[in-house]
Amino acid sequence: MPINPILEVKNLAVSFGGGAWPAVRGLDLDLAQGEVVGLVGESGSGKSITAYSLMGLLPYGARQDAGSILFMGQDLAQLEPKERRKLCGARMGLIFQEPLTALNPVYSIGEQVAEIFRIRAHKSRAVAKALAIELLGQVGLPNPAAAYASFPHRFSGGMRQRVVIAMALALGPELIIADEPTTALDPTIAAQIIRLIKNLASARGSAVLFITHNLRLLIGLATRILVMYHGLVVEELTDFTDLRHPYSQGLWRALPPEPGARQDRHLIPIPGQAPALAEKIPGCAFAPRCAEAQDICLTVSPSLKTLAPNRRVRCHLAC
Amino acid sequence: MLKAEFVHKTFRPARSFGQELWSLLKKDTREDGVKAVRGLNLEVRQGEILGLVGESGSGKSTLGRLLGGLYEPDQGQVTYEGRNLATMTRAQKIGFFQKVQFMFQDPASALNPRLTAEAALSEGLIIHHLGQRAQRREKAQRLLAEVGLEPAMANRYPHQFSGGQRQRLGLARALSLDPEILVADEPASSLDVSIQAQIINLLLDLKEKRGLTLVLISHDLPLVALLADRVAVMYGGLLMEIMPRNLLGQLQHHPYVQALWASTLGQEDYILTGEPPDPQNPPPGCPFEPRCPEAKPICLTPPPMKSQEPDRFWACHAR
Repeated sequence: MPINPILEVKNLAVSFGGGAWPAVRGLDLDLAQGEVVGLVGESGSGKSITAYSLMGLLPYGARQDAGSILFMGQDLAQLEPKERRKLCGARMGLIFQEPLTALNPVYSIGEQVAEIFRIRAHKSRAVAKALAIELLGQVGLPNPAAAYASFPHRFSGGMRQRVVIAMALALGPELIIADEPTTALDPTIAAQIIRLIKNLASARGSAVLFITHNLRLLIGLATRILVMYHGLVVEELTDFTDLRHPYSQGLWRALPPEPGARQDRHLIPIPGQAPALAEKIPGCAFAPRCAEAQDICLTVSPSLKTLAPNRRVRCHLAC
Repeated sequence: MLKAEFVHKTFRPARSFGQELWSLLKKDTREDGVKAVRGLNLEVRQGEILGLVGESGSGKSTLGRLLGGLYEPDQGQVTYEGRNLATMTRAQKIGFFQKVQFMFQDPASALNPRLTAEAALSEGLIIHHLGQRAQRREKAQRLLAEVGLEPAMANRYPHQFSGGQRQRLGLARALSLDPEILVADEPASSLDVSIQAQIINLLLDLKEKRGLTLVLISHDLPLVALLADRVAVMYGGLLMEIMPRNLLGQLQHHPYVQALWASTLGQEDYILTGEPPDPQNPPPGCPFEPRCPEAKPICLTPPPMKSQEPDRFWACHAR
């Protein structure tokens, strides 16, 4: 158990259509103060839905079926909606994947940032404006006073993402959830944004949950990584060189290697495709695609075994 | 085989007759519009994989479309086996379009939602008056098998395929006219990592089997470095560096290529500040000058193409 737990998620289950399409099937997740935790998975693995359920932003048709989310010791499910709204946005900030859809096109950048200070922190217009300009400067926008008056369409993707980061950080949250914040960005801009999130989080002592589909992105960023597949955590690790679950290994091998590392130009794919949400798989969800699958994998669902602190694997064969 | 010589392409906003007349009367010769490609030379050689790398707005897709004859250059020329595309006869042009085919990033929007797989695969054959109905049907079946789809899928519509299967269908359609050159514009970047590797391997195998020439356009530097025989890196509508396979990871002559490489691998020592140039108003000299840590006063003039060895060119004053 971490020393200063910010977030403790226990056995979280989320589904669409009243249980017909389970998206998250029992997730345990702890975050301590100042930690950067990576959550990796492909589309449909349940990683974004996890983020939304933490923030209480589940889309229409989705429902939390089981589990508890403790934020700073408070169970979010037990809170009144009004109380919960006080936490989300103020003490938990979410950085969205697509910065253009996260911003309102008809309000200026500054109004959208200042609004947070006015409504959530009850500041006067003048104070809110000053705070917003200061914040826009902190996220590295050149000429923040001019940025305050501009509209989202005038900004490039990287600058818009800086604004979204500013909004998530406005009220000094203890927890920052970043849902694929660099997927829509070019590599040189993505590198800037990752460094910005990292620096701001460590300067403020916030914990970060960094959600991505790119395992390589997390090197040097995350201190701990959770790999998700078909709504379940299949592996928790702290050391990239020690991947135990065949899916994590496959995910890593499928990435293009560094040049010169291999002469053969072929990539190493994972055969088949990820199961649909509604699919009920009796054994291990990954077994149909796994090269090492044994009889037991097809019939018995493996449990998440703890090998060491912060080191868990859900596989019959890895121990 | 296919050669772009000093090609320019500017996309101008649509102007009314009145606006045209007004600027004519005022003798307004101001050049407006997005300068996507600003004069570059590039040769595609028979049987090679040529990688075109760049961030969004670098002009890599525009160059690919210029090479395939989908756009006509404003200045300069594109030649195929010594013949200028712009001066080809109609019959020659039709022959050229059979030999050069495209595969696009997002197969969901590149495929007509109202056509079944078989109809999509036969469309090109019908347009080019190739084969009878029965032969076309047989060809469609052969193509489906070639890209690893079931023959029974011939009557399905695009929405009934998964993302990876749709991309296979997009590839089958590009191959339906038995082209010599395939221009693949981000062929796998909309897919999950494990599926991406399947598609790339299929592309490689079919390239070998059919003896194709492949122009691979991608923002994914490690992927292109693995696949391409030659890698051309674009920035701000110009070529920054061309190098043979496997040299990319070792020594980058151009500071931009070095920065792109560092940010792709998550190396913190070479993170850029600033944003890519505005394509409506590009810098007068080297497009990278405003962000370059090694910029000198001379960089405000266009840099020359330098070379020390065959197949290796870079455009930089400083190095």
